[in-house]
Amino acid sequence: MQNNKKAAICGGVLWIMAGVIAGCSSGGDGTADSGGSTSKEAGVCGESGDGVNWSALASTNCRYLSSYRLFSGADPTQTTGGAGIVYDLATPLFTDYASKYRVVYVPEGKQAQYSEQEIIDFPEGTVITKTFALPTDTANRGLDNERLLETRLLIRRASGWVALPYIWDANEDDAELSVAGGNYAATVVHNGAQQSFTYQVPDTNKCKQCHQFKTESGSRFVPLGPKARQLNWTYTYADGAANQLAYWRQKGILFGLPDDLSSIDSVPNYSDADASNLAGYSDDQIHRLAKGYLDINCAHCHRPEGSASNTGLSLEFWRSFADYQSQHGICKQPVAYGGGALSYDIEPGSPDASIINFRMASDQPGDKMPEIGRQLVHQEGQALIHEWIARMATNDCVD
Amino acid sequence: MQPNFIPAGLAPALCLSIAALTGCSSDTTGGDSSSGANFPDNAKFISADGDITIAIKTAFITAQSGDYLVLPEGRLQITDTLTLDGDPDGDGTSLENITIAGYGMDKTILDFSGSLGGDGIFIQNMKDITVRNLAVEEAANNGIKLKDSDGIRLQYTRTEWKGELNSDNGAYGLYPVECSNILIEDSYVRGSADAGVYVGQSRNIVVRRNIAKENVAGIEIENSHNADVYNNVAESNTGGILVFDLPIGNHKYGSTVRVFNNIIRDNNTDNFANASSNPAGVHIVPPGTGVIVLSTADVEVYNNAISNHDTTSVTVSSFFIAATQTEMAQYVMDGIMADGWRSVPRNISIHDNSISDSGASPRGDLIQGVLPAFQAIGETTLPSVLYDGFGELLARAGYGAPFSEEPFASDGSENICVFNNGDATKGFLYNPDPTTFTDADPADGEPDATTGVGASLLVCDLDRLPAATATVAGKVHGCGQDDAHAACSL
Repeated sequence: MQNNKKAAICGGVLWIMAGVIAGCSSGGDGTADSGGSTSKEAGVCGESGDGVNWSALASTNCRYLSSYRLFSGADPTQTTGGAGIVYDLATPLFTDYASKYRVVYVPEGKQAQYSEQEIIDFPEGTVITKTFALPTDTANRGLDNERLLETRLLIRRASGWVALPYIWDANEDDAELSVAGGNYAATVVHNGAQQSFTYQVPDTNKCKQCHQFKTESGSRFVPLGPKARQLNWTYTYADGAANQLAYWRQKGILFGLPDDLSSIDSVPNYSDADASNLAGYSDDQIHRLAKGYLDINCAHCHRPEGSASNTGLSLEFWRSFADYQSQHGICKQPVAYGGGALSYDIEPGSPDASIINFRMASDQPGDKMPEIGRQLVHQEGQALIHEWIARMATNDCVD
Repeated sequence: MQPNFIPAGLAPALCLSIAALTGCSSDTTGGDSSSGANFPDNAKFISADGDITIAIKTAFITAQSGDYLVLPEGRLQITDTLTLDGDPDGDGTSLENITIAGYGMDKTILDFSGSLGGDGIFIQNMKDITVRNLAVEEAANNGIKLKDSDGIRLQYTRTEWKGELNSDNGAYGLYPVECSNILIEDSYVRGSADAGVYVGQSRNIVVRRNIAKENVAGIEIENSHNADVYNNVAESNTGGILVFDLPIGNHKYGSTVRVFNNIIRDNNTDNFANASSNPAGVHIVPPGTGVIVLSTADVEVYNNAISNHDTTSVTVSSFFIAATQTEMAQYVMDGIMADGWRSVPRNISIHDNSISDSGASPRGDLIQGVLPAFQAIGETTLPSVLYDGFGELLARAGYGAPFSEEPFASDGSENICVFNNGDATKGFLYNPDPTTFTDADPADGEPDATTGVGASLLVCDLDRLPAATATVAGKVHGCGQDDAHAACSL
């Protein structure tokens, strides 16, 4: 076992980068090359070419992100030859106030199949990139004001989806594969307050903790974000504004889409700025916002097919709240949570007595939810759920 | 009754466990619990040089079927949860037969006091995993959690929260949930603010020769099917050994649990779990309780040495005692009964236990409504074996239907039977005989307590339960399989 610990001081920022393991394969479906002399890597990762390095993506866990030639430069939204389509989610998963830049690459001549409820079924060869960048101040986002942290790849290979985390170097020239993840001593200013924390790049085994879908035949690895309900809204592309699903169909990467887009469920958009206006939303609007937030932040685990199936809490957007109160946490006692002095996942009307609110407001390991993927509290997300619970008809769940 | 009863053949097993703790003994099943660890030729040794967290993560991520991973000796400061996923590519094919080993539970110590993660070690989607000869200390949440895995062997493993017992300690020590074929043996758990050994929503379980000391619950079998718990020591917990079936609503409910030949003593530690009003939380466990059977069907508690418990030695109860009527009604409305959960225990046999020094100082919130009923019939304390009788009475009197409780079988096969426990006292809060049913105040929504104590109560006989087995890597573990211990013949 080889492990390297590499620390670099750059602009006062300490990087503790996970050791990149030369020669270690993931699941036997590829090998990381140790680097070449002229190009950065040998073998298929080092091949030069103009377009995306599809053959490397399909076969090999390259050491350097650049070896896949996904981006024309370091900008994770500028795709090589326009091979990828940038997309955004209506309400994203919170990750320590980092900005996220998402791209999907579907190989030429192939199409993804629409799914009403589950993840869009992408064909073999598809690559999804998600780049995390931390702003100095969340009031000023945009790549010019942000530090590139990591780019996560999901590649649909013949054996299924593979997750590869790449950590950007301090100069933002390239990113390097780090299957064991890594830590980054980070600071971010949010609403005028500076927060210092350890940003964690997850190791590849942690990826599956969220990215899994259990079936009778086993536990498949699935993407989480690109569901129709998360894409069914208008995004401003370089060539104009369009509904994302319609745009994907127009670009030829999606089939099976209903003609009537309004027939497709939509998660409402919720951004941090919306938190200051919670009082201005109707009860119904708050309910849909909360359901959307819980869907993307919790329901990958909290569903019968997810990692937290043993908890009895199921929070999918499409699950009927009226018919499944307990599954939403209403007056539901926790099954697997030993901490906290509270009694119910949700005590209607009493957010401060509700475990969901408590765990969202915590930054302590063992208490905080989600339990991985964040170190900071998402104040705006917690405020939304707080408001949602507060507006429920009061019920102390006892008598 | 023998004053100094030691369960059959348990003394040698206990010595073995203690020897394993100190790392100075060889044993008959593993052979390398001590510093003279012998590892197989294919062992992969993880270096202590550099960042140990990264090194172990990397070994876990790159693990292949058949790997034997050896963690280094010493106190290892771990900074994150160590996750092993048996199916990282999600193709439905699990890695098989991986061992994570140290040099002994007092020699390879994973210290999570500075970790950013909740759990210590988290293992999922594995087929046949062994963890042995190591310790996990001070994990924020659970010590070693395993999920969706088939074939688990935890041996000579220690999970511990040291120092003062308080609610900030982690929840579960050894914690397989939604798994099958689980063997937990010769391990030590201490300081859990919930349960030391906690097997949840699983099936085919063997828990033997472990020591569970100073936890809220020593050993808990929850919503699990086919479990043998034997030759363990559960001491100085709040409650010694718990068999619970909780209203979870995920189709996973328990039955067929045998608790036998254990030493269960001095479980009088004040409850240090968080005090929520969750009826199923272990904070309800009254300090001074030896064994609790809650809502689970088909349970046999026999030939245990149960001594010195301030509240009661063995209690069998329906969920009606733990939950309010509103909560019970809510479970019905939430479809939990339709999902298969039953609140009333049936086919419970408590026999041939040696029970001593019971009931010196009953305490705990749950007892507040129970003790006065016994005092009202002239008793000074709770009986040593305490049965609520409430759920059975409702079922037998024809009031069980709303809770999906059929009347008890007329052939007696679902009875609660308590016999051959020496001179241990026994009694019930409600007489389950429906002819005794009275309800002076219908408005209060519950029948009158018909509390009774006496040697003639609850005497009946039931068929014995079958032994549980756990198959790990093709080897079948359990009584009559790899174990011919005298306890297996009781």
